[in-house]
Amino acid sequence: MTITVNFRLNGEAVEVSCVPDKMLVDLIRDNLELTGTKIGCREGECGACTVIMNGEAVNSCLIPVAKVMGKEIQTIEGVVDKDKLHPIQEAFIDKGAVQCGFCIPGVIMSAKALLDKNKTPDKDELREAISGNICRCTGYVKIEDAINQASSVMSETIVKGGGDER
Amino acid sequence: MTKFVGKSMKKLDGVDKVTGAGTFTSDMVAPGMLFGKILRSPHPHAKVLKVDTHEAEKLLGVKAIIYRGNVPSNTYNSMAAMVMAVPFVKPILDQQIFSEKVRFVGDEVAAVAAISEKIAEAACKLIKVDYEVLPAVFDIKGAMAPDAPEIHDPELTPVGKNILAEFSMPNDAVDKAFEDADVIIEEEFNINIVKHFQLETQAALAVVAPNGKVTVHSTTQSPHSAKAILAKVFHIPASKIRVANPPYVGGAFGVRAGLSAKAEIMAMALSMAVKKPVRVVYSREEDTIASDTRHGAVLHVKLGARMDGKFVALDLKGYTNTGAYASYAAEVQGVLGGMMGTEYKIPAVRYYGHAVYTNCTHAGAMRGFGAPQANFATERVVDMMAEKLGIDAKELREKNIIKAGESWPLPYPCSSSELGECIKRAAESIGWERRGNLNSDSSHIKRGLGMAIGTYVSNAGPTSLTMTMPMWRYNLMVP
Repeated sequence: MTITVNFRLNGEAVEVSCVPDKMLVDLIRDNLELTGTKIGCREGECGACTVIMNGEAVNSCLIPVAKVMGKEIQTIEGVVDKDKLHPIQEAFIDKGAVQCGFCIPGVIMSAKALLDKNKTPDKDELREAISGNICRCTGYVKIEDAINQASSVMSETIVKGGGDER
Repeated sequence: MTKFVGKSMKKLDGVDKVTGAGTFTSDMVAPGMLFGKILRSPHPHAKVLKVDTHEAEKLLGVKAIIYRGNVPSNTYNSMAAMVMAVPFVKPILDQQIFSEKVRFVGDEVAAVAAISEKIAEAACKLIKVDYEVLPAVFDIKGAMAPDAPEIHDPELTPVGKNILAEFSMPNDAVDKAFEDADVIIEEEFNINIVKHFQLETQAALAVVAPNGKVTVHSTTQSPHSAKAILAKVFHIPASKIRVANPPYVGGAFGVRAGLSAKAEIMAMALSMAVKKPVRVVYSREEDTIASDTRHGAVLHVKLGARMDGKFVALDLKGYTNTGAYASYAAEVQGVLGGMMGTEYKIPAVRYYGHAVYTNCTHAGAMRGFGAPQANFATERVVDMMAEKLGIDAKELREKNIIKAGESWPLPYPCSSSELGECIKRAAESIGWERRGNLNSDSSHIKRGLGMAIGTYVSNAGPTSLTMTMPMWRYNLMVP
């Protein structure tokens, strides 16, 4: 048995037929071949599979595809604006916040969900936002530095596709 | 020079990694690719009497099943030590693709290649295995006891029951030196097993071409060693095998300083059986129970000092829990023993250690490679000594640390050291003078300040450090 799921992915309408017990992460990686979203644990502990669903950062390994119907999903592939890196992506490179890189797509999605809603988060809000993302390389300090840099840049400029465009 | 030196350079692979475009093993696909899953033992120690694959073979979508009997049974060691040991050190070869016995919960019994991971997993559940369950042992001392079960062929453990490697730095002067000590601290520490939890689990994609050439993309941190090990496991020329990263590896921290547990072997064996590409990606549970851990250890430390704080003798015994298979058992013992005597100038130092088989998950390389275990235990004892002597813990260290030009147990001179400056600056930056005065009587949350020093060998690949110390029966090569 298969179901047909319609939703918007990185700004485009998509329609996918798949088995109903599939999780969003597998739909994204296997059916839609977007492998930027990673799998680290499949039980919502590590955050490597974080995507943004209707503005909220979620673990895509815990979202059954039926729940995606009609939703707006953004993955790491949708963060870059054509050839221009998003300020968060720029900041992660500038600050040396990337090492092995496996957790990074998930961390960036958590950071983006935060900064889209709140461009000037305080330390606690920032830490709360990335508390679901495990990074085994960096020790998080440079990740925090990067998100703070992105916060400064984003609060001064209006980013295309960056959510709040008031 | 000035173009780069002193400048903060942007990481070359940064753009790949922040855009999600960079590929890791678990992202790799090949035309016609099948998915491999592994059947693992539920028992910590058992004979595998019979593997019945009849029902599993009937499942639609199953393309190949491997088990003991239809794959090679050459013995190997999963880590680079197998192919990079110095000539007169015999690597410990104690693993096979599938053994007659399973030796830990998670040990491999069979594997399936199928058109989906789900079908491969379902087929694993249909494989019937008859086990003869054997007594198991999990702790170091229990495993060395006379009545402990033999985990491997006694030929692999000539030193004693389940002892697969011995490392010693004998020194007869130690007993005499303790006679000069005013204070002796003697303690035993039980150090727990630690797991790497690198973010990407063990994974491999093997592609066997019709001409017999094999390409393996995997999470290994040592592609050249991995290639050499696979050649031995499958008894085919290394020239026919190519091992590559795809190109990125989601962390390692030592866990794949050789093969990625059995991921490469399983993918390759299945691919050879079915003549199609096969990808094997461990689940987090599999990664946790069936890839190397840091060694748990029992460390016995005896430190002697004079009233003025000068250390006179150090005697350490170290027992490491290497689990079911050797991996880097002997080498970790070597670093553990070799590093502990290099922080302080102590006239008489002795080390004696054993790597011990148990029915735990195999232990191997992890960040520090034996040094953290040794450093933790010795530094605790140094703190206890400071308390007993009534000397500040920082001062006691400063009084005893090794300085450039002084002799130490390593076979090359200590030509430079800024350890004293390190301690000074660290103390300044944490406000060492506040030590002991951080808490008011009424506060429920208590805070403290402590310090510890550590040392480790430094090197770069493929083989940059060869320490040969025949006088201690000790050789170490670090990949």
